[in-house]
Amino acid sequence: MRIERKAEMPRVLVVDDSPTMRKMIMAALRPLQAEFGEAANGLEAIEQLALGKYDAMTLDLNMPDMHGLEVLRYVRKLSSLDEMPVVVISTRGDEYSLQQSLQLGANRYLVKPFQPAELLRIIQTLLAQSA
Amino acid sequence: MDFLAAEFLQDFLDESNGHLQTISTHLLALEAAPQDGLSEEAVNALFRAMHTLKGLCGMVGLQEAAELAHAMEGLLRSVRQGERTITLDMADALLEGTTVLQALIESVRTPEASVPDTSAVMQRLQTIGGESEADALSLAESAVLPQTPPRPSPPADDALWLPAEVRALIPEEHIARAQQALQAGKVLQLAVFTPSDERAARGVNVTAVRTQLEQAAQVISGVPLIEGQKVRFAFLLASETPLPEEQFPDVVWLPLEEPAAQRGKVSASPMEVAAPRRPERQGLVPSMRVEIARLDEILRLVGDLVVTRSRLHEALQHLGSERLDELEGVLEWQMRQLREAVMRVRLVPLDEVFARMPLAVRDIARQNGKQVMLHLEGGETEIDKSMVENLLDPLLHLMRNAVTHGIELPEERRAAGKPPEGRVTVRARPSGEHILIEVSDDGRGVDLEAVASKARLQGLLTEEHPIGPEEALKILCHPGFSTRSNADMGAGRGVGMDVVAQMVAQMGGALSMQTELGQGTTFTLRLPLSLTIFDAIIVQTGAERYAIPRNSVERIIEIEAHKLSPLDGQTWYPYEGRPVPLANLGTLFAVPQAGAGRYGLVLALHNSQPLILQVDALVGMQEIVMRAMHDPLTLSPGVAGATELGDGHLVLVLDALGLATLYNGGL
Repeated sequence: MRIERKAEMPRVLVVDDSPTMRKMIMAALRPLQAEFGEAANGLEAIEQLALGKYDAMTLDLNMPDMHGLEVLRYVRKLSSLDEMPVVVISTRGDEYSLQQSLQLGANRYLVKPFQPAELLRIIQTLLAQSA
Repeated sequence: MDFLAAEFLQDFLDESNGHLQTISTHLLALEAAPQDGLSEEAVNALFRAMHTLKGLCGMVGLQEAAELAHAMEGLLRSVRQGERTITLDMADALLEGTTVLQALIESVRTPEASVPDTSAVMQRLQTIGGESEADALSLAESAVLPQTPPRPSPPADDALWLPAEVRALIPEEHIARAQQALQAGKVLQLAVFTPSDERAARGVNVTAVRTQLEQAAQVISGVPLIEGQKVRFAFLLASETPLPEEQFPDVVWLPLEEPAAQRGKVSASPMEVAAPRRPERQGLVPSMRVEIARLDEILRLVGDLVVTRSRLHEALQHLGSERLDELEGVLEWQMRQLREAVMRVRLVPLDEVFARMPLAVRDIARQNGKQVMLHLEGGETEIDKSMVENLLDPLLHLMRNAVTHGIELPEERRAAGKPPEGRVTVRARPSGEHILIEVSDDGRGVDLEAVASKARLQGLLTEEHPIGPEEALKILCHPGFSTRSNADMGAGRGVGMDVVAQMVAQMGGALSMQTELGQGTTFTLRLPLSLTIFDAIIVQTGAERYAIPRNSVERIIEIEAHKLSPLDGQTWYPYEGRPVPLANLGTLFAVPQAGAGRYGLVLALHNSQPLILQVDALVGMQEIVMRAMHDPLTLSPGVAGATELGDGHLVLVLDALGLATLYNGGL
């Protein structure tokens, strides 16, 4: 079933292989009153992005089968998404990938554990800029 | 971070549990067969599980747990990078760390409990990791994902041919794996999946397709093919024999042969292969996660519906309309179907509990200098979700007892002509409306005589006759039975048995024991499939009505007064050729104006002393919804809960085991 969405409601795709982490990210972004999509791996993320319109995405790096950076590379290949704001949310120990993330077109880079308010602020700012 | 921690505590615990299990499963497998080493997939799975745990622990504010996971992840990272191989010592340290990590994670559930100390295990991990600390940075640098494009052209003698677009995307190590598969005589196939809204609505997404393919073949690689805004997914598969294409209606198969030159360029492009029409879904089982609270809500509503239906039944009886009675009969049948369907949704495999056993057994065995092999059988047996959570502690208790008290030390076993390695088996199987779970060991068995004399010393047993296993079990489960001098009792089994018995009884189950000196002991837990809705016999004593679960009644007999024989302050009645004590419900509950008791319910007590419950009248049998009674003031032995009958009367639901205990005077 498809739900008609209001024009002002942003759509955010949350990509993380941990369901709890996805819930936490969505909870942090609750004040946005956004419509959320979820993906547990890279291929699912790409599928979701191809099927639905998204205004922003949070992306985990260390996921099974396809690394987040690989996902990012593919996402930027999708014609409509070369400008979509992407926030990479990675766990400590993955910092080395900061450089690569930014090179591949990530807009922001956040390390877990993150402050919910900070994630919210970042996404709000990015959404406002891209609007 | 507090609001996240509080809101997602259960999610956090559930998910962490899964990761901890993944970790312990792989490490224990390595420990059991060190010669096999760990596969690349296993190392990756270990690493990822640890990595995710670290992130989750950080988010819920478990700083120490996050640090510990970080240290272990560091070791695993160096293994993953091929910087070092995993040694038994390292696996052992990781297992120790996992045990502490598990305790730290569990501690969020009970904030008042003491938090385990991590310093010893951190020290150990750092010592092992020490030498690689220096090059941690260079490791990290090299951990960058493989650069995909541009790719060198494949060697000329390459037997593997792939459409150019696909070939360009598949990482080099996957190509190597495909070539190995070819050399091993396997068949390679290429499946292409095109996602669509229609497919997504049916639950067919890229993960579902991948899972379905993984069940039939090894998925060597999965890559997205992107053109503009169009996306397809290509999966390269290896299998012993070609997969039957018709079994996978949602994918298109691409030939893995270089096409003839004239049509080559065109048809080789996966983007231009039209998806042929296929029959609707087949074999693919989409699933979803549902919050338990929502299921509970449905179950509660079904329960209300059952009560309303029995009210309707009462009301219709006075109308005498055949048509309505017939419809009501259909309704009853459909309600039963509905109830069963809802129950099935709540069933989960026991694997969830079983998976926690190996690590626990290993720990306990080590602490006690025992060698133990654990066998788990029937993990696929399904049980109500609410029971799974309550089952872990009793099972762990029984297993701990089996290892510490049942299994002998290796030298002792050798002396007794047994293999030095003891065997603990946990076996589950369905049996009618029940689930049986056995925890057995091949240890020294329970010394019934020792238990009896100890009980006499403590004044728990007055008779001098030798006791059987069920009596011994009752003594062991008695909260007052001292366990302090277990060691000198040899076969002592007292540890926490009262807690086990209590938890099993709370689940409406029964605990029994078989034991043979020198051969071993088996504890059997008999649990109902469902806790709340079941068929019950409605009985009457005096003016009071009671419900008793149909499952707890073996037979109903009519009491003939001349066959009663009083002896030793008890009344006995011949049943199946031997005298069985009679308990009058009216007397047990001091019901005013209770009659002589015309009917006898032979209680199904399993392996315990038989007992016949005497009641005045049988009212009928019906499906009831039991409401638990939590108020300690209203809780009474022999009463499991309360239910509302169709006519609006509230009646108590009897608990056969509790009645027997009450009759036998407590012990």
